[in-house]
Amino acid sequence: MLKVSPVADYPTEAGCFLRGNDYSPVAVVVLLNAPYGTLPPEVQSIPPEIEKLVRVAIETGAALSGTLQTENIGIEKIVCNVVGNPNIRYLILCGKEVSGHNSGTALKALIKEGINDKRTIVGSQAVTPYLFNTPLGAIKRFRGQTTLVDLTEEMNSEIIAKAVWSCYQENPTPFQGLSLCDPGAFVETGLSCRLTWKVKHPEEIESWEIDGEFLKKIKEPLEKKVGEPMKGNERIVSLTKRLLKVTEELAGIARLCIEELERPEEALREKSLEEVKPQLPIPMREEPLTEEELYFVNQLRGYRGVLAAFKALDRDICHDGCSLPAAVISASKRLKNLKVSLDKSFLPDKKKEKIQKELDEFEEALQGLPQDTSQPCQKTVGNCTIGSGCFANASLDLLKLVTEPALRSNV
Amino acid sequence: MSGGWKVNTYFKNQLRGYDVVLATLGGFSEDICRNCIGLSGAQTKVIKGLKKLRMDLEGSLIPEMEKEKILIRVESFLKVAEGLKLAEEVSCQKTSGLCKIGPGCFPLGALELMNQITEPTTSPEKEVRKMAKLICEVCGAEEPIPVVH
Repeated sequence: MLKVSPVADYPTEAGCFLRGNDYSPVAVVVLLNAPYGTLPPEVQSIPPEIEKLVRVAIETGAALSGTLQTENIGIEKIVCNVVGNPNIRYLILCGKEVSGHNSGTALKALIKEGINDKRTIVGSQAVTPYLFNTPLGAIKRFRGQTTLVDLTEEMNSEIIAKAVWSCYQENPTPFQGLSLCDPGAFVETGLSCRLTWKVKHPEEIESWEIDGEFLKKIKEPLEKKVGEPMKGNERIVSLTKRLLKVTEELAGIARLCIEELERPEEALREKSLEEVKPQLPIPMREEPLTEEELYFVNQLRGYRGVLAAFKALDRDICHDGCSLPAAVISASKRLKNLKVSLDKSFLPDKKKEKIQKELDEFEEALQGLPQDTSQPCQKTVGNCTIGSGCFANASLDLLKLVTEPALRSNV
Repeated sequence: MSGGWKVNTYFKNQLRGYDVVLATLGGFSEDICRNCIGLSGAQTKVIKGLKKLRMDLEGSLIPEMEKEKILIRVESFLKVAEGLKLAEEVSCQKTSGLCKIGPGCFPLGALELMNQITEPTTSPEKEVRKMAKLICEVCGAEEPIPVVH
């Protein structure tokens, strides 16, 4: 059975994965279904059950095993790393689908259908399944090189281990209706490719923005060469050019180091000039020390947005309607209630005063907004045509975004 | 209900929505959201939405006078959106441990105010797809009229 070495810089893309046996024919992708925004980019807190699956896969003999969260950059990293190792012939996809991202269906659709001329995964249910940063040759290779073993929604580590084991058997081994065995390395050599990062935030791209001009901008010059091995002098010239570029960059760094060492005073002066460059004042809040104080601080944050929304609505047709006054009255009542809670709280007087002052300001602002609920509903009179929704009520609902901390009973 | 009415209402409703969203984002930008990637993302979404609105408007068949009025408002909203106070480097304030309101996010919540608009359901470019030609019986001149589907 033919086995080959992966490319020299394999795995080319960093990510949340473990590297196992390079000669194994299987990579495992565990879907990372974690609430959006609660995990830092470096994913410091993978849920233990997901981490277990990743570890079990590596311990059983996978070449790579890691998590997948996003339907664009995440998948692109998988593509780059898999095509760098021709020994990888199976991709096991497991774990619960990532809500919001639908990365699992996107990866499955990529293998099954590929991408269209807008670099969008065909048949994916994800919102932004765009592969803008990966060479087309690499995507084509990825699809040809790998076979999907679809274990989506599977969280049982024993089943994942059995799947990994089945993939590297020399003889065809039945597994959940499939016949798995190691077919040896892919016929072509590994591809060393990295993300171009021409589009750093694909999640911000709207489908209507992907036109000819956009695609022209992201076109990767090396794209044509990926998948077509360079021959003879072409390869030497390419490597020499790369070496030259690296040398130039290193020379630049060395020059900067020498300049800084030789002229420390000047460098310091420049640095201090940079420091006094005017910047937007960043609002600083004293870190609330107690949960009780945090409760009030969070409420104030919510009111700030609600009040801004009310003021905008007051300039609109809502001024003559009944919903805005009703929402204003409701907000006033809640504010009064908050004041009572503040009085009863055990916060130090100084902090109480500070919060009280902000509450008074909000109260005053609310008093300046319409409170006459006898005015006609603007939908009924035909002025508001937005549908069944209501801006005033929805603005008040912004306060519901504050769910922590819960108010303690002694407050 | 004529197609033209619908198109006009579509733009007016969108502007009403963006007005309140921008004001709300402005309110939150006075707080720690100024340093937050959530606000930065919401700003990007609003700017893109407004640009799309401008594109739709330019392609629509509403009267030029009306179009110009709407365009002025779109441009002024774009300026407000671009001028939202944001720190040079932003990061999720929940991850940084500064935002402790729970799983909710104020800027995203503000952006969702746009979801209150559910009518007119058809977007203008879908509403009027073809142009037919009306030939004047007297002089034989051709005048384009929109065919509403």
